[in-house]
Amino acid sequence: MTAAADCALDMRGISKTFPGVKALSDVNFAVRFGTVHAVVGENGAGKSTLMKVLNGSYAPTSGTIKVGGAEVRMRRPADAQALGIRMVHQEINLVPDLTVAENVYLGRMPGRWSFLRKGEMVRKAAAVLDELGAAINPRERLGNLSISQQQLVEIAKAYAAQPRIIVLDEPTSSLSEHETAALFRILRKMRDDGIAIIYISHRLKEVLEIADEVTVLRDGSMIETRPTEGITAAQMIRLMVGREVSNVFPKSPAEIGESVLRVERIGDGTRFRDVSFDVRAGEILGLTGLVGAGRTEVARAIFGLSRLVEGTVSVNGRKVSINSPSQAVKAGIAYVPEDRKGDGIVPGMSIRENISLPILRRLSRFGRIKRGADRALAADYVKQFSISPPDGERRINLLSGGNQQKAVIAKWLAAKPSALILDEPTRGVDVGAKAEIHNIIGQLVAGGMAVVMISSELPEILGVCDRVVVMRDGHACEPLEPAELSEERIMALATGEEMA
Amino acid sequence: MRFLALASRHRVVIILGLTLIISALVVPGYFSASTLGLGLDRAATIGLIAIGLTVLLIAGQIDLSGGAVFALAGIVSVILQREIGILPAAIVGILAGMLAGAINGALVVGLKVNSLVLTLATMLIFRSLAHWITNSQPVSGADIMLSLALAKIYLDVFTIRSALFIILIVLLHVWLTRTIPGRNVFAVGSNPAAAKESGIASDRIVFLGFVFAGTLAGLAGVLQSLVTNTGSPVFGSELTVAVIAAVVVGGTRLGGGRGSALGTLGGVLTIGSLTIAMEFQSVPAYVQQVVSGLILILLVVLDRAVTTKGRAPGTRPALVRDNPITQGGNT
Repeated sequence: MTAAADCALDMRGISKTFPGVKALSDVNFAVRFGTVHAVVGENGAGKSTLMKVLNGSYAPTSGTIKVGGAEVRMRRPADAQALGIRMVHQEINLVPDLTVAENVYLGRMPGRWSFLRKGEMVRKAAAVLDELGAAINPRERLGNLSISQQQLVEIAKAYAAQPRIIVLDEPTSSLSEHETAALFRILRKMRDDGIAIIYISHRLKEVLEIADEVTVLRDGSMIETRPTEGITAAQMIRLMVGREVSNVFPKSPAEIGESVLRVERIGDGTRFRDVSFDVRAGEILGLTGLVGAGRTEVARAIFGLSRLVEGTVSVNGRKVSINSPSQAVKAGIAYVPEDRKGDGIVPGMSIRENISLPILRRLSRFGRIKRGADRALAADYVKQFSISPPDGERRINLLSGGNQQKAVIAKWLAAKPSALILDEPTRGVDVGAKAEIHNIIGQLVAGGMAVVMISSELPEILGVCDRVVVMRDGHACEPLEPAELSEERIMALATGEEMA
Repeated sequence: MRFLALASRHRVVIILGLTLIISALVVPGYFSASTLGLGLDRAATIGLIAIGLTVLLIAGQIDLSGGAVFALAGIVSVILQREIGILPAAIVGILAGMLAGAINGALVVGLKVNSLVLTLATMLIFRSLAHWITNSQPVSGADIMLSLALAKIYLDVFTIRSALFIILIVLLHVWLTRTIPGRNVFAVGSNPAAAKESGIASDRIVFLGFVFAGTLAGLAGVLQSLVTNTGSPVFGSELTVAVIAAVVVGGTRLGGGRGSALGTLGGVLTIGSLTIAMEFQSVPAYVQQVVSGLILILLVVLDRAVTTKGRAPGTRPALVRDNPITQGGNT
């Protein structure tokens, strides 16, 4: 096989400029058939832009693209698909109201004279799902499936199109370990079939496990492409951030004071009950557990987003009755939700407007917002949290995930709460921003705030939190004291497998 | 819970059944063939427009201008009768509806604007055009005999208009469930981004959806003007609300992606039988509208109660053991 025929994709000198921003500069990126090629980099490094160029969503400002050795020009996603390039997005991009089979063959359903051949389609979809080892009924309505099943349907859809190049963007972000292992089996099979697989992930351990080659992007430039053989995660991180990530979870020891937020035997009647814990000033209490254990439900109920049917909540020793978020804010509780895009930010507004949203009353006089105070407040937080770009007037949805998260935290700090609940604050943000968010949390507790942090990542929980509450099936364990904290202990409590 | 979900799925049947039972109790002789035929004929006008609107709502769009197009198409067909003959005039009237739909579609797709606002604007324009053309006076047609033929009841139940409606509903059902373009309409309404990414020509589907809706509103308007031998600029001014009510009663989701022809049939029959029952009891027209409105509110509330409670649990990642940072910690 010649070198040219071996080369599935060859992107040369790709640049992409948006008004005011150079998203990609002179990137070279080549992938061979029959290999898994990982692309890593911090959020905002240019991975998504590069992939959007590859799937025809963006036209590159300059550069050439060769697919299978022939130079191509792609103007829209359909062009890329015609060339055998398929994307599997991180966010599920399927049609909830159609069946699984219809989704697998979306845009190219089999038929004659536009009459759908349903039997044939269902049979073929079942065969593809079967080949991928996914036990999913092709006749089921897609919206009734779990997120991880939908993710598998997304992969089946790409695979059914018999692509030459398949791009997977964070495919494991909603998969369990078991499902991830199954996905890797599928990927290896596809690789052995000669498909070129581009694998984008933040999870470096997975990259090392599945990829043959890895390309590191940083700030819109290609830093290096090399075989994964002989590279360590530490080396990859260095290439990604361009600096040493020193202390992993920098927690400055804060003085622990009085109990600030105390919940006693709370329950919502369905998803959790008899949950008790307290968190003291200067303390970070971790709240963890498996998916569906009820962590987010507890947080939402405390913040007044859903109703408690039993138990009490007290703040600073006083019992409070909270039925709405505004009462929670008044009582001194703030909540940074898990679903940043849906609940955390107001996308069309600027950073400044987002930050001052909960405290507009304080910033206004006779109903008029004091512009100066508003600007000064936003500028303070932008600087304190090093939100990038440092421009309070920038629309918040144009920021990277990590910077959006920092702005959301800033928003609640402006309200000066005494207790802050963070729900998966570092989910989906990159390595550098993660460290910065941990830093910010450290500063907050140093200033005497009480923090409850919900996280699924054990290393984060162990590294950041002072005490940890583990939830399982709507029940919470007694808080684990520092001496009891270990990965094994938490896993045992989370899964209900008591240790000997 | 399961009962509620089941009730929600078959709610059209339940609502229609309740309406018929109550009507039969209140109105003597309600189930006589002539009453049913009358109700069906009345429902057919709503129904023809509802067919177009069903497709549009499934595709995630809405058309408020149906009632105005209905009036305009009728006027066009009546005015032209003396000059070019009844049948050609009728065809031109339907084409006028088609053109109005094409204008709606081209503007929504071309300007990428919200169809609710846009068709609100074109509704005003089409309605005003109808007044302008006629100097706000009703116009009458050339031949009363045709009206009588159209109003005649065949097989004890059907008029030409209601038969046409039933045939089109069946065709719509086949089209929505059995054809690829039909399924693609659901995709476009349910998740436009996914549809586009999969190479479905969303813009063309939306445009043709508006053309289809306009054509059917035009057809309904022409039939109405032929039956009454009159074209009036005030025809159909309350029709839009009744049509939306009928489609939504039939289980079509306002947000797009869900709906069915048979549901719309049920919704149209419900609104039709309700109207007839109330007319037989001499309930004034404005009270009838109040009842339609209340039913709509009831349905929306019922719908929400069922869908939010039955929603799948939140989605979060499984407990992740490994993390790039700790791995990078030079262990």
